[in-house]
Amino acid sequence: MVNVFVDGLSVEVKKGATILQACAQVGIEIPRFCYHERLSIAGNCRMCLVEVEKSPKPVASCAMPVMDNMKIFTNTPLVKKAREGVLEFLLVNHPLDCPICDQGGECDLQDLTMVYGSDRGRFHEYKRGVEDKNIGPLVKTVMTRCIHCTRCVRFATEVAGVPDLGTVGRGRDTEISTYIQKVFNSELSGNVIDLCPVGALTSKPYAFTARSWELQSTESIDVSDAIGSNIRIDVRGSEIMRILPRLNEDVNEEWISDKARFCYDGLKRQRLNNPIIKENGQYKTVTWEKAFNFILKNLQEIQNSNRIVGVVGNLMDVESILLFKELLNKLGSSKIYLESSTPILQLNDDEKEDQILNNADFRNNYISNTPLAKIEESDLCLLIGTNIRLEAPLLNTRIRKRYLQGNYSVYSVGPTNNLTYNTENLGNDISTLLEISEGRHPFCKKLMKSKKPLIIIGTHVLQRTDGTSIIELVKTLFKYTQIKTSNWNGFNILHTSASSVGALDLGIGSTKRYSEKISNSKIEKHFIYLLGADEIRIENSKEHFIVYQGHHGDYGANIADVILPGSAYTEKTATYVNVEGRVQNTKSAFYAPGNAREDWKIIRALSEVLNKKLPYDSFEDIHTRFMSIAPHLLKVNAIEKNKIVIENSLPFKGLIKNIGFKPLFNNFYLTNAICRSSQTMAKCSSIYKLN
Amino acid sequence: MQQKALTKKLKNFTMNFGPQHPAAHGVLRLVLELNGEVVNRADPHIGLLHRGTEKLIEYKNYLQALPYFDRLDYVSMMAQEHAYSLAVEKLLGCEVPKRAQYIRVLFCEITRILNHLMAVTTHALDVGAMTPFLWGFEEREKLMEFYERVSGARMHAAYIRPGGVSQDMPMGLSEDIYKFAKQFGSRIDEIEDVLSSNRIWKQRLVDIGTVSAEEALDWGFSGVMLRGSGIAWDLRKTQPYDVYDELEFDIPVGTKGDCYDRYLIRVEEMRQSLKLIMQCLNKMPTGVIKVDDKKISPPSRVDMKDSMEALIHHFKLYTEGYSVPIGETYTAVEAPKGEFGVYLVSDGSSKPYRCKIKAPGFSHLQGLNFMSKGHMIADVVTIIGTQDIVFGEVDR
Repeated sequence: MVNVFVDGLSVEVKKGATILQACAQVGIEIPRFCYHERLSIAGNCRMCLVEVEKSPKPVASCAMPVMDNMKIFTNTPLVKKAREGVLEFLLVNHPLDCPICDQGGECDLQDLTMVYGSDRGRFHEYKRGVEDKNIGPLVKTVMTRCIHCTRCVRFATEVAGVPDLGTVGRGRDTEISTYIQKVFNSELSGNVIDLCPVGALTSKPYAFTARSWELQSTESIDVSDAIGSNIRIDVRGSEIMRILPRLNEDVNEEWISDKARFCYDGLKRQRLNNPIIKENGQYKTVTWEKAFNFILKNLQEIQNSNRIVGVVGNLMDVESILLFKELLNKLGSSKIYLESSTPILQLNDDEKEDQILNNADFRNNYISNTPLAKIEESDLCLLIGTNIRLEAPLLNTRIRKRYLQGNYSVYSVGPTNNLTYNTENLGNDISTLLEISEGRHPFCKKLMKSKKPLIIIGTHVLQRTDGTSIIELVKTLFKYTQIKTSNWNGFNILHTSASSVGALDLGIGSTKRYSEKISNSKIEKHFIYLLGADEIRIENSKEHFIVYQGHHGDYGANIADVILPGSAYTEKTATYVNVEGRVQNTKSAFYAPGNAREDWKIIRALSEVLNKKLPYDSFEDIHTRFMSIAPHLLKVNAIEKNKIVIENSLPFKGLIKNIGFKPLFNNFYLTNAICRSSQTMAKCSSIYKLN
Repeated sequence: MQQKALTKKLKNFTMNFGPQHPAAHGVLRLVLELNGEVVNRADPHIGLLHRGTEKLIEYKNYLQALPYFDRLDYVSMMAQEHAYSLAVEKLLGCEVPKRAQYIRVLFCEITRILNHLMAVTTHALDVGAMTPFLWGFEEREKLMEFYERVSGARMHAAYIRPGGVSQDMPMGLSEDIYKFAKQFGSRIDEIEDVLSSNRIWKQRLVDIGTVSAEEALDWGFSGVMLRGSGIAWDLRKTQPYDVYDELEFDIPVGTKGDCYDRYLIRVEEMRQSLKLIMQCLNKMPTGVIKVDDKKISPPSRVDMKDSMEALIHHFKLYTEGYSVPIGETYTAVEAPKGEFGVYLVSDGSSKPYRCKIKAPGFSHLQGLNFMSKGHMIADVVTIIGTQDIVFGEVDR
């Protein structure tokens, strides 16, 4: 620790801390453009100049480490003059764009000019002009506005791991550029919009649509993947204008993926506004009552409750899943599946069910046991059948962050992927896994030496028929490695759907599923209830009676006989559980369109028509129920730990097919119904080549 | 037993006066308890014109809050803008240029004439004299034209702003104000000819609604209501703001504290205002009309065309507004109706944390009960008139 004086206040700071950090510790905020705590220090904007005793010139506080008994002054005439001078030079080449600039109102340059700048200019010559760059469909550039803080360059190089951006030229000819014209090819590209302190990089879809002070913000959660990034939904009237990340050090830091940020225009298209039934091949818009009665009539035709099947979609909240489960149970069925682990549903009479996850009564068998914030502690990483860059971009940034700290290696079993850092591929062969588990593979030496290894198993593994066996095979590693010790658990199953962990917490779905056995027997009519399921594919869907409840006209609505319009994640206050088991809430930012309702209310209303009334009249009733079946779902923003863990002591004897792993999805930008309805996402998928 | 049976059970007559009565000056509802024609109790019910101004101001930035002040007492608009602007300036610690101060005082005195013309002539109208009303309103129309020429609006001017005034006076306006001021004295004479020694007028006003000096102080009266009772209290003299200490004027006071005294004071105040207007016109300095600090007063549009600093400041001032240092102030002016005060608390942001408005009419209306007790019902109208009640400021 070092003792310094900031404006006369004595403060103890860590050795090696910067002056700027010391000032922050006593609550003095130093103005800055280039400095950003999550990026490396550039020290080029000079806005953070402060006076230090015995230093002849003002000092850039962001780059200068503190020394013992240093006397720092942040409020002297010298500092004031220095800041005024820096701002005057920055404004010399800044175009008179405020009225037509999207950053106006939330612009650091404006704010700092108001506080620290002079109130009049002395510059009357010509300003420089810089050609705008086209770096893709998400980020709009107006390069004349750029003040060369290089935050975007550092973000691209350090966090995103896509060194596409850089500076060319010197002095007044400096430009931020991609060298040769190309797109900024990153799944995190949108974050440079937030980082840019001026309006040089702004959002293309948001361009000229709203001013920051017109917007009302709602703090919510993203559901495009299972990370549960914290987001802020900005709404004007009843229209969603943009989505921004919200700081949460434990989850997404301050980044979000482009899918989370830009998929929102999909919420305005292809929406289901009214209940629809299909009679004699004709779609008819009907009232809720009629739709429910139609379901009742058709349900009565299904004699065998074994032929009632439910599928939970990827974007579903815990509350709806609970009611869905209880309704189907009351109808006599326990066949509820998660679409995230069931890519294809085949229904016939000699079907059989498979385990996906053994011992799913214990949470540590199906979640990512290493909290995201603890990934930096790991010292080795093994990825099994997953492309984390696309399946969980923010998990990937965490691992990349750890990787950049050095002394770290990442290995993968499965297809080779570009994860933005070096990965050693051990082959896409199940026998490799077998060799590792038996200790025959050269990799085992490293694994055994590792103190805190990290193992990440992708969702694709769960979708395989032999998924359980593969997972059990991996678990045999526990015996001779330190994957699981008293203070470290590096066993992670990487779910990619926002609903998976929540559903598993309620004890449904992923424990069983149908085998992919092909049968020639006669297909019986089933009653299939799709709760927002659009990724699953149902074989012979025309033979069955299908109810689809969801918000978008996508695959599910296409094959359904009855469509019940539900709410998207931005329109309901609901609980989600992320991949690490963290409970978080979405908040309703505006109302669902037309006659659409919140999903749990639909199920509750339907249950009454079906004479299986569920005892929940309010949101609080559901939460009271959680209290008795899964109390951890009420602990928002906490990860509940297993208190008792009983390991599966059975020796491994599963059957594994020697088929390599496949990518989980073909297109990062089109993984759910919202994205598929989004024009922005469509543009991205045609331009970016991430897969 | 017998005694009780002889006692007659009497109940006083309770009557509503207003809120639609033309002499109720807006939306005043009085619940009168009458003993025959004699008023036992007058209970004012207020709130029919409540708009939540103080709360609304908390959600506006300092400049956006200003026009609310025009809409309080809507016959003395600029006086209230003046109070608010002085309060904000005190928190900002900024010095207003001399020319702006003179323009402010000039228009505050025009405002005083506007208000008193309204007060005196409608008072006369309520009591039965229609002619002064017609004469007075012709003059008011001229004054409102001055408002319009200087600010663009006849009434809700939003002209006096923190840091100065919104724009300089247009060419020829001083000349026309001078011409007006020169002839207006004889207009006052005409009104006085009809009223001051008029028998009916005096019968209706003399010894009606008498307020002793002690009562006036106890009830928190200010302005004419206080001076009518013989207390020479005028904020322009006792704690001068802007350039009032550089100008000469007298404070008329009453002797008896009745409605007639207050009428005479209002008439004399108009004459004093004329004197002040003349002095302002003669002493009017040249120079800028708002503080030369672009962090407070927006830069000119010409500067915005080529100065980045000017553009940013303009943008931020008209969207977020300027931030006011943490602090609180109670600032009051001598509005035509009395002491109009603004209690402003700043938390350092660009919006007031709290803005409490002290309106003189509110205190005066509370005195209505004791002033009208024992008077005839027709005198209630006289007393409302002499109090010069405007509901915009009472209800806020």
